[in-house]
Amino acid sequence: MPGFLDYFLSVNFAIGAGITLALTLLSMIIGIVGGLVLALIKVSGNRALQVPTDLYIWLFRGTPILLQLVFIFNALPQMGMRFTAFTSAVIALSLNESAYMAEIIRAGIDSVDKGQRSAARVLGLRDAQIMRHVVLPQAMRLIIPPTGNQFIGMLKMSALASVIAVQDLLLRAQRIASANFDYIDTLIAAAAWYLILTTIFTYGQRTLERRMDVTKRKRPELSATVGEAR
Amino acid sequence: MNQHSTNDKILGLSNIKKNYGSVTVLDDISFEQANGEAVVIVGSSGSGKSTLLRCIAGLEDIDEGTIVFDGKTVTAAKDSRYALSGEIGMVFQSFNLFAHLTVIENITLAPRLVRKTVRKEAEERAKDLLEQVGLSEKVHSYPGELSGGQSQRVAIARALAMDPKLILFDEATSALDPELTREVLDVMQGIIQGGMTVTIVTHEMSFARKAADRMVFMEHGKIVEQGATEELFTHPRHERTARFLNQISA
Repeated sequence: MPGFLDYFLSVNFAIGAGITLALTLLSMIIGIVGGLVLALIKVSGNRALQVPTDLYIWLFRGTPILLQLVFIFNALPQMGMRFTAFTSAVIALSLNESAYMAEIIRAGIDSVDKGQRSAARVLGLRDAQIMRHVVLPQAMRLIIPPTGNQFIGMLKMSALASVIAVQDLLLRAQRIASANFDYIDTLIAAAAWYLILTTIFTYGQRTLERRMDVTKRKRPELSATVGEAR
Repeated sequence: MNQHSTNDKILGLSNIKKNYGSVTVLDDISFEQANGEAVVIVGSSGSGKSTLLRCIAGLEDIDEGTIVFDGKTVTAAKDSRYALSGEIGMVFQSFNLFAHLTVIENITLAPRLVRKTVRKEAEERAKDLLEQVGLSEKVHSYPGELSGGQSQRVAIARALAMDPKLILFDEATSALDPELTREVLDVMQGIIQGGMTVTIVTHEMSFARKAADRMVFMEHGKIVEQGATEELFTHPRHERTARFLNQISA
């Protein structure tokens, strides 16, 4: 009977890890773009768009992701919308992620000193230019750490997709185990793959944070107390 | 004090009123400013001076009256702001340099985005301006690496880079330690001598007396008195003006 290492190094598990990774990256990228759009609507002050945005966030943060996943895979076909298991999973995970990323990005935008916007306005920059060149680059410092956590969370949350038969890491491990009852070795092999992926993500997150947060990004207000540096 | 090359009106405020809820912060403010004129607005804290500047800059809306700058009506609405396209410069008490950009990027951002100046040209101009404010060696520094006085001089260079027709100074030295105030006031003095039209809110009375053509004294959101600076200092018509000037110089 094959052991832990055999499972861990098998093509089967490697493909499963690849699917898990693809699911995570796709859902996060779409989730970040969606979250950015929602956040921009929230800070725009546009009342007409605000209500549907709040409703969206309320809906997706207020119901279990598992329910959303099953709904998209099983309920939507009854309304004539049919997706593959993988596509359903990406849709569910990214819709859900958008709601969380919207709050993270909005908090980052709100953290940027209002004076930055005033200065940019007086200089004649348009609202979109202010957002793109002044506000968002500074908001990044606050957006990146929680987004890294979201990536790691998503990697683990993607295992829920096994419920709708996406051939991810967890499903493959369970399939083998249900055939030969070797739960210990198969699940530990799957866990090892998850740990490798989350460790890589954590490392990437730290590197990115370090690059964003160097002394040169100190807030200008602080400099008044520094004194003459000549 | 500078000579007025032309005496045409650049800024006209008529009967401005502004409320924050039930509090009236600007009450029936009217004044005009000629091209090349240096006007200083004085008054105790909370008299509405800074709010007035923010309204002129189009950062806040007024409830009544009109602000006309160079033939254009100023409001905080997008269209009005875009139409101004940086023709009114502003220097803030808290500098508001873009924290993520270097000094030269701070100065060239608006010329490149708003005026579509090519990078090389914008950078050359920025370097000239940095020389003018005495900070040539800080071209590639970040705002966090500058002292308050240096930050404010960069902010002034940033405003000048748009070749504004008017620069508003909102308590530009109030956040600075006394020993750093001088360097900023000197730069401001130089700009005024160069013929720039400026509206200055300040508590530096000796600077005001030396640099401004005309002085406006405000109290509780109203203009109490306005006139030639020296005249106001030596012969204030209102008792309240006299009292304020006494307090300040005491």
